[in-house]
Amino acid sequence: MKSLSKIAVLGAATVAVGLLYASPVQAHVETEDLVNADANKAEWLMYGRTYDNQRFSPLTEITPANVSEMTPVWAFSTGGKFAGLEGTPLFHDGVLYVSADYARVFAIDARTGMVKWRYVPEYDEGLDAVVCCGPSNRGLALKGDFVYVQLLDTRLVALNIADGTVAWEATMDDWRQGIASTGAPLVVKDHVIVGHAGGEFGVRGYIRSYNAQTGALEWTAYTIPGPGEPGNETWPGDTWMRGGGTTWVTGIYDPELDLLYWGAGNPAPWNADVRLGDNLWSNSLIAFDPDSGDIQWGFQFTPNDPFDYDGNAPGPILIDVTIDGEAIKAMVQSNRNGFLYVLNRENGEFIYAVPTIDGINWTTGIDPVTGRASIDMTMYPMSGGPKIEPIIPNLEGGTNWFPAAYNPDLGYIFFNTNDWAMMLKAIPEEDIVYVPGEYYGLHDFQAYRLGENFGYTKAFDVANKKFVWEVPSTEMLFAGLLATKGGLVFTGDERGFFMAIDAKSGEVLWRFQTGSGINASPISYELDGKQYVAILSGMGGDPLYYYLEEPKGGMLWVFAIDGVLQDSPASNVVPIPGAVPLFEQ
Amino acid sequence: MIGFVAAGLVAVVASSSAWSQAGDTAEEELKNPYLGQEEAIAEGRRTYRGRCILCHRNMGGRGPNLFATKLTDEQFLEVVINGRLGMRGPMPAFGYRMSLDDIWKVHAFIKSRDRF
Repeated sequence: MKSLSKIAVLGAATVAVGLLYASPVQAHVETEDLVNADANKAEWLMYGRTYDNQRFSPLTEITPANVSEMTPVWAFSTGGKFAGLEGTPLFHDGVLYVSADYARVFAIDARTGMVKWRYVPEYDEGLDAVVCCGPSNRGLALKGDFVYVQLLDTRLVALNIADGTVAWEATMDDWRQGIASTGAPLVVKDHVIVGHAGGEFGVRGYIRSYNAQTGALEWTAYTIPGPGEPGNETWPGDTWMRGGGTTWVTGIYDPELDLLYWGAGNPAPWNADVRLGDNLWSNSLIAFDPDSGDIQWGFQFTPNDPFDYDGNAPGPILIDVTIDGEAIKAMVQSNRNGFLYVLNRENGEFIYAVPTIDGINWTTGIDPVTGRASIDMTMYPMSGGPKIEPIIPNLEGGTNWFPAAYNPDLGYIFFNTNDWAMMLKAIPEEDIVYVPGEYYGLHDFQAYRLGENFGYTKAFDVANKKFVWEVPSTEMLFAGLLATKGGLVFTGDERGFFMAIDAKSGEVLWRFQTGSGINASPISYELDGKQYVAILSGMGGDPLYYYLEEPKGGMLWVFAIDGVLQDSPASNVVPIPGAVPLFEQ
Repeated sequence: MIGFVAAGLVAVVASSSAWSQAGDTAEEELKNPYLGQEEAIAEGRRTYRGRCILCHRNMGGRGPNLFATKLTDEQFLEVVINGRLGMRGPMPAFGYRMSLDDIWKVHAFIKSRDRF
């Protein structure tokens, strides 16, 4: 008999939770701190910095005039498998909270760059085989004594902020069904609200609320309505049961309206002609009551989508703006289907939409009154039908999950787009077979680039409905953005460059090569009177469908002008117990 | 019959007829017993669509073009069961999610044609 050990898979992941050095007592983040996060200029307390998701730092030390003097202050390697970084760090009370691939969490003293504690979750074997797009994690949430992280296998974990030990954990779902979690939790009042991925596995999307103190499940709100619920009639037969509409991009909240907004992703299967109808609320922005999960309204971007244009990517931004003489409580989103939408966030009313990329051809147009998009049926892949190409944009979208940013002083939203097309060929209907944990009805697919330049960083004037500037990139862009009151926009590219752009002119003023592709989102914070900018660098996620992972990376970079790194007796190296005992006479 | 692998122990159970056909010595290479068998190829195609296609696509993508693989039968089996570090991210260990028969049938499918 051949030795089984040759192909046996042994062992389980290890968990390493440890307090590396003692922490002083920390000021807790409470609900009013989150509601008033904008007034807290120095800190970055939640995924989008503020509930409106503007990713706008009020800090002004670093400006177009002096950004050329910005240099790295320190860096930190997140190590592990170097499987890609997509996170937005948080900064509170002198500590950076950083999530890395596989939802590993680091609390790092921002003065010294030394790890205060780290959390490395343990997973069941086989999880990687049901994760479509890499073991990414996009961020954390803070409230009270806890740092919240959603693990790749859907567990929601509350870590004690002082030492990283687990206070409680709640299992949201069975990962074996193809449900995974990659997004940052959102804390609203005493609710921790989370979503999930898995739209390619035939799941039914939902968001859930857990009690922030205890982890008790409070409510579940499905994005795909069940029988008797409004919208269920847009699904033939029982197709709603496996209709997708997943919720893998973190939502946002308006404290004044007390509305929670969360996007729903693509419908499943990709074959749209087996689920004829609008397929609500797939590819939609949905407003929920944050205390009950009840749906208040929804707006659908791409009805009966056969293109995988997740409507939840990226999360929208809340702005107050005057358009055509009317003051509007608006939300603005550059959607994966290639259009930028402005909606009234009080009621979901459509205001306007504009294309963000050239050559969009999946639609015959968007109704200027209702905002409803009509699919060009000559571009619609029919089950078992011929291949259709080139469809613009590619299923990765005119843009994707990476967050946009907004400068309220200028009225500009900044976002990254990609110019690319695709071939789709829908599989025959008989090949769409639901098996839990297996891909459910994916089209045959090929991506095409369309020109010398691939990605663009763009500035759009929301009130005046016009593009202001664009910065081309020879490679695709999958990084989020940061806008600052100092007049800068920060973002990164797949070549590894982290860059500062003049928010008014679009001139690239500063670049730094981080060593690996940037697929994460920058933040800015103030420490001891000094402004810092931080970004994670490490190729991963969807770009690995198109690039080799080399050069691999997994680094947190921190920049400033004349930044300060304090010396510390602490160390980021972890001694092996007993390896070098103290010699005793 | 080959059993699915539960969390974290042994990937294959040595009671499979497919396994026994493979030989009894450590030196002998395992051979896919399903090569050329129409029914197994059809099953392998369905499993490929359910497990493999998002990364390996019609002729390669995030993962290499399996229809042009130069791996031996046994090497293919090992990689699918154990996973490995790849050039576009790691190949997950499917030994915990697929049976030995499933893997052999996928292999029979990819060896039966030059694209999906």
